[in-house]
Amino acid sequence: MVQTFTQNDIIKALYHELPASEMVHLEEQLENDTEIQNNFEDLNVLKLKLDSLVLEPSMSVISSILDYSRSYKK
Amino acid sequence: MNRKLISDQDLVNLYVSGQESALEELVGRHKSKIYTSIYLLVKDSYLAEDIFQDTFIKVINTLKAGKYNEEGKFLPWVLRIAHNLVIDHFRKEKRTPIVTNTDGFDIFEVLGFVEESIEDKMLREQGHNELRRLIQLLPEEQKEVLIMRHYGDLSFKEIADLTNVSINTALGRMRYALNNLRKMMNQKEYSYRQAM
Repeated sequence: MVQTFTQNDIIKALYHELPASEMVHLEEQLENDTEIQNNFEDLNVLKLKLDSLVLEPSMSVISSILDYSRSYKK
Repeated sequence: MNRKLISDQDLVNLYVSGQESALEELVGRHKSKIYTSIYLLVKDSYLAEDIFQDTFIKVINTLKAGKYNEEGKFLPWVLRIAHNLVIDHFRKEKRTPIVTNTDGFDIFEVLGFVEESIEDKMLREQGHNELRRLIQLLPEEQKEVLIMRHYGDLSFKEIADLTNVSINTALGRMRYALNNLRKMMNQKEYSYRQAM
């Protein structure tokens, strides 16, 4: 049986939320369908770009939080 | 004991039992995801730091009072608190976020890059500024799902529950967000090529 995947399934796969059994079928479909394969690869590239955008809070705010915890009184 | 191998839940238990250092590990482990999620929603580094701090004050108060009952789901729980504080802020301000890319350039740090030249660093920062700007151009509902899934690590089910929509709606919003970002990036590349 040929299983077809929705666009939402592709998004689930991208974020590792597609069940393993379905992922196997999707990978098979990716191998045989260049358009879906290109789409998936483009989304993966975008995901990597988003991964690289990581922001950090300042050390002073971290210190304030830890100080608050240490001085906490019930 | 190597704290890096301890689960969030065990760290929570250690903290509740009085080990302050467990909180330091929890904050260190999740600070980037939580702060990035807040920053991308409020677009102001000072406000993001205030909300980040208020989030952890609520976390500390709840844990110290023995009221934490979200076993195994520490990060989604903290992100829900942060998300609610962002909503509270905008309700108080009675406004929706305004697109700006002028704030916070000097205090955020992007991790994972070493030994790069000044030119590389400038190009990377330009790329990040552009990506942040494009994220801000997304419709609010799409941006919200993108931030919660990508930076907050919430599952689509958790996002659906948090935003009172179906999983398919949450997935659809994410799909539109990614496709719109991709289109905007392609358009920008096309414009550059035309200008050269």
